[in-house]
Amino acid sequence: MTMPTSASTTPLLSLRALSIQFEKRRSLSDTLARRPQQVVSAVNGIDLDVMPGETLGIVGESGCGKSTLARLIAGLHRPTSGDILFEGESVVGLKGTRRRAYNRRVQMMFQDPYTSLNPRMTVRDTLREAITVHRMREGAAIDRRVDELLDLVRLPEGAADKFPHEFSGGQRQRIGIARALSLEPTCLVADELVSALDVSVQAQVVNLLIELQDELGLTVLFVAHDLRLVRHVSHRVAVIYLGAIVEIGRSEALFSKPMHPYSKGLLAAAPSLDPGARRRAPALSGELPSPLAIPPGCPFHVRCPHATERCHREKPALRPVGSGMTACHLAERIGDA
Amino acid sequence: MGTTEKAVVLDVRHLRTEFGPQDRPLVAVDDVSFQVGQGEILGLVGESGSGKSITLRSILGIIRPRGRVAGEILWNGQDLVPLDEARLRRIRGREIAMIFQEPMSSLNPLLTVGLQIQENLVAHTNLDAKARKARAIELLDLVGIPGARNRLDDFPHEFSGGMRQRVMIAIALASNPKLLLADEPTTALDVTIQDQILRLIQSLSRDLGMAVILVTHDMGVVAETCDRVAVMYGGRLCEVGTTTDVIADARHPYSLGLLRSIPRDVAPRTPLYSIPGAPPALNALPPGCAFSARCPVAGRECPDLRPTLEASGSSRLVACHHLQDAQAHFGPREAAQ
Repeated sequence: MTMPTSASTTPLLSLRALSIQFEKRRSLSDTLARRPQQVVSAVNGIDLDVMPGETLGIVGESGCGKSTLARLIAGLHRPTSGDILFEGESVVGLKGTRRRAYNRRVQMMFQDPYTSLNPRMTVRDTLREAITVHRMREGAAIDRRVDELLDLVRLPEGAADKFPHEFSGGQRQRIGIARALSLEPTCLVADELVSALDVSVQAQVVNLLIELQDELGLTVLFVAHDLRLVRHVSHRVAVIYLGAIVEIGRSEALFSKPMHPYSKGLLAAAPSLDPGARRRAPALSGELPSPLAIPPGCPFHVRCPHATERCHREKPALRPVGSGMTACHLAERIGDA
Repeated sequence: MGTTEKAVVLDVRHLRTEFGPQDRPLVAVDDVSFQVGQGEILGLVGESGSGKSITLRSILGIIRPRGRVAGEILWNGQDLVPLDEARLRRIRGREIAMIFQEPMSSLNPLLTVGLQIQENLVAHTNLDAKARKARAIELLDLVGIPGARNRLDDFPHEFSGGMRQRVMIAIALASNPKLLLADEPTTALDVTIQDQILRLIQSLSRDLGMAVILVTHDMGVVAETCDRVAVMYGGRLCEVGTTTDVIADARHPYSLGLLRSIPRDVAPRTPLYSIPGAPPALNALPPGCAFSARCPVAGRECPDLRPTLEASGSSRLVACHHLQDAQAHFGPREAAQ
């Protein structure tokens, strides 16, 4: 297993009690009836350290806040409270050149290669724009860099002067990767990078990502719902439920022995390739509650088969259990079951 | 569980579906033959554009008039291909029902779900209004919607994605179909909800003796749900067999590659097996084997000479000229598990 290349112990990126709330628009009748403002708590107090060179997988059901978290880190949303530290410095209030410098070093890659590339720009124009805006190269060096980047993501030579629609999904995703790499970032945020691709093409893009990461020493946040891929790619994995981390730990440990009942259910629900391991009953009943009304106490207690009276009252904190961290009152008891 | 033990309800013979001009047709489904037994769940696996959805739609006759269907679709001995709309309508929705990937776009947003279920009961049963309502409640209950009685007057947008898919299944079940065609019914859902829906389909098939054709791109879904599996590529079948056999010991280079590209039992962050290239366009299929352009063991004859689907051992059909080379190329890994 390739470990993070740098042995440094200072995290590249630290989230401190990071939260974001979106206010739901009130209709006139709501205002007249003086109904309280409804608030979606998408991310609720996440504390997280990301080490240089590591891949952190982020998994959870849709609506759990994993994409919002990715967008917060990439600076596309402003947190309601809490802080994001990059190399020890807060980046939340950054403006001007320093904001731009951060934006260059943390690059986001999106799920849908069809909508995240400008259909009217050739690949060369797309890459050139990014390189010029951030003044990465000048003059003739720009075009040399474009060719270099396309070579890096293994696109054929003539690709630079084509438009996005002339490529297949997998190739378009490579263009997205090339665009992100054109700014020589330190950290990549990959939000469902391969989920729109065919299974046989997914592996190509994942291989490319791992290879580039090792070659360039990048830190990667890999947000995805395909648990098998996350397990394969990540050094560490964080499981998110209703905007909070319920379990975090080294990938192999977490996948082979999840401690939180939600992680257990989520992993068991993922289809395995073993027809002998079929279950008659679903692994996890119920659905993700609305983030408009997060249950009190442990947010998972409404779906948890082990929930006790304490879970209804008291929100469990993320604490060390086994080799990782788990937010569950009963982790020790359930973990071994 | 092969078809031999169960009465064959659907027998598809040399199905060919084409679109576009007569002289330059786009052949979406090419010479596809398979059988489905009573109460059996058959998985139809393939990538986007492999023709799996068109195969389903051809069975129901919902690709006409733009598509042209040839071959035989024997439903309990009766050929559906030459039937006119009026006679087909007596079978469609009554004996053969279908559910789709996007429940939100298949449900009418302006009608309550109760009305949409009863619509189907009016069309296919002789029940009176009171009995229809009782049956609608019974159906919602059967598919696991909590508080079924109170939800009849709700509109589709008041249900979550998983619940909407349950409503779709309830509508499909209204007429006690003998065959359910499910077109990627869980692709838009989270793994936990997918797991719930698949378990539901499985138990309905078992309890009601209903045959199911489940179209999916996910081998994991097949492993968890289906009795037999048919792998499609470029509009043709390349391998058919029981799920256990195909997953443990795939023979066709495409099925082998597809299974190998899914990360399992490989060291983390090592390169995954990937099938080179991308799925072919319908207007660029070779006259011979559709997979030949991406196949690691293709010989000189493969692009020109079409392999036929032939028995390979008991209860297995494979279409490949180079079965032994494929086994040698992919090594004994699959067999060792």
